[in-house]
Amino acid sequence: MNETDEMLLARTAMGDREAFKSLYLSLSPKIFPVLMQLMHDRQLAEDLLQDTFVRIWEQASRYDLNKSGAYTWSYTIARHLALDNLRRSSKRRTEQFTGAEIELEVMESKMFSSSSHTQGKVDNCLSQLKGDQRQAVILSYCYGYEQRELVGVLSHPLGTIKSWLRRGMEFMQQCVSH
Amino acid sequence: MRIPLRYHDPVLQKQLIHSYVSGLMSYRARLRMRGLLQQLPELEAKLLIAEADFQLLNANLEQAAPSAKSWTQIQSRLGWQVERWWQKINYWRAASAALSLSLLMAITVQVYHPEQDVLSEYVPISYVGILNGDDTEASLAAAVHRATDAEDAPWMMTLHLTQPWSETAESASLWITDSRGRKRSMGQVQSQDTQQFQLTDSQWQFIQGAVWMELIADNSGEVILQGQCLSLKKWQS
Repeated sequence: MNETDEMLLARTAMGDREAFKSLYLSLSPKIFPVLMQLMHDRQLAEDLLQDTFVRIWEQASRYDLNKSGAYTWSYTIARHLALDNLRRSSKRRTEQFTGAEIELEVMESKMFSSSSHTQGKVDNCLSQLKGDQRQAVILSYCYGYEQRELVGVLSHPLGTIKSWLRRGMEFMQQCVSH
Repeated sequence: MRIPLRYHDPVLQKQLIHSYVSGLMSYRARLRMRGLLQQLPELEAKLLIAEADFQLLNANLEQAAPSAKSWTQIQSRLGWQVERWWQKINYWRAASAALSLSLLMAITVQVYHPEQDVLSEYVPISYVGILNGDDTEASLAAAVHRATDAEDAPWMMTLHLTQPWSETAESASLWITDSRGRKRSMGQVQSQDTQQFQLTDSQWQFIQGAVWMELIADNSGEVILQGQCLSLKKWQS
C-alpha cells in the first residue's frame, strides 16, 4: 500500500523511525529547493533542512490533519526556520552578493509571471499586480529579501515598499484562495 | 500569560500573518509572533491556510535532493546511532528467526495432512472499544479490522449493540477522542444490533491514536455510552 505523507507523519508521531525516513525521502527533495532559493547557499540550506526534520520528529505529535497537509506543515517549519536565520543575522544578506547576482534575481522576479515558473491561477493573480509590486512580493516571499534590501534593489522609498507588500500579500491570498 | 484582546481581531491577525509569511517582520517581532502562534490555535490555523495559498508560488520549483550525508546527520542529531548492518542486533535476530522458521517449515512438511487443510476466515481486530452508559443497560462493542485478511483490504468498523439505548431511539453518533484530546465523529449509529461500515483514510488515520469512544445524542449532545478504546496490536503499514 502506498502511504501518503500524512500517514507517514502520523506514524512518525508514534515514534516510527522507518516512517520518518520515508517521510524524509518524500519531502526533502521538495523542501530543499525552497531553502536553496531563500538561502543562496547549499551548505546553509542543508543545515536548515536538517533543523527542519529534527523539528518534524520532535513536534510530529502536534500535527493536525484537519488544519493542513503534511507537506504544508513541514514546508512552513522549513521556511520559517530559514526566515529566522536570515533575519537573525544583523548583516544584510545582499551585502554578500555581487551586483550580477542581485541583477539576476531581479530579472527572474520580473519574468516570474510570464515564465514556466508558475501556471494557471497563481500566474493570473500575479499578472494583476503592478510590475514593481509583483517583483517586491516575489523577491520577498520566494527569495527572502527584507524591506530595506528591496528599497535598494527596486529604488523606491521604504513606505512604498511596505505598502506594496502589505497590499500585495493580501491581494494574492484572496485571489489564490478563490 | 493572558493575550491582549486586540490579537483576537481578525483584521490584525491577517496583517500579522502576511507580515510573518512574507518575511517582513524583524527577528524580534518573529519571536513574539511565534509566542502568539503557540497561544492562539486559531492564529496558527490561519497561518497554515496562508502558507498553503502562498506555497503555490514555489510549486513549480524543480525538485532537488540534498546530499546523502544529510540523513546521516539528522539521525546523529536525534541520537540514533548509525550502525553498520553487521552491528545491528536485529540482523542477528532476523537471521536466527529465519533459521528457526526454515526448521519449522521442514518439520511441518514432514507431518502435514492435506485433509486437515481448512481456509481461515480469521481477521484480526486492531482496535476495540466497549461503550457503557449510566442510564441504560445497552452496551456497544466497536471493533476495527481489515475487511478480509488480505494486506490491502479496506479498514472496517463493526458495531454490535446489545439493545436500543433509549425507547425513543433518538439518533446518535459515534465520536472518538485521540491521545491529544482531539475529537472526531465516525458518523451516525443506527439503533440495531450489528452494523458495519468502511472507514475512510482519514478516519483510519485518526483512529490509530484513539483512546476514548463516545456515543453522543445528535440533538441534545448528551453522552449516552462511553468507554476506553484499546489498540490490540501495534499498527503497521
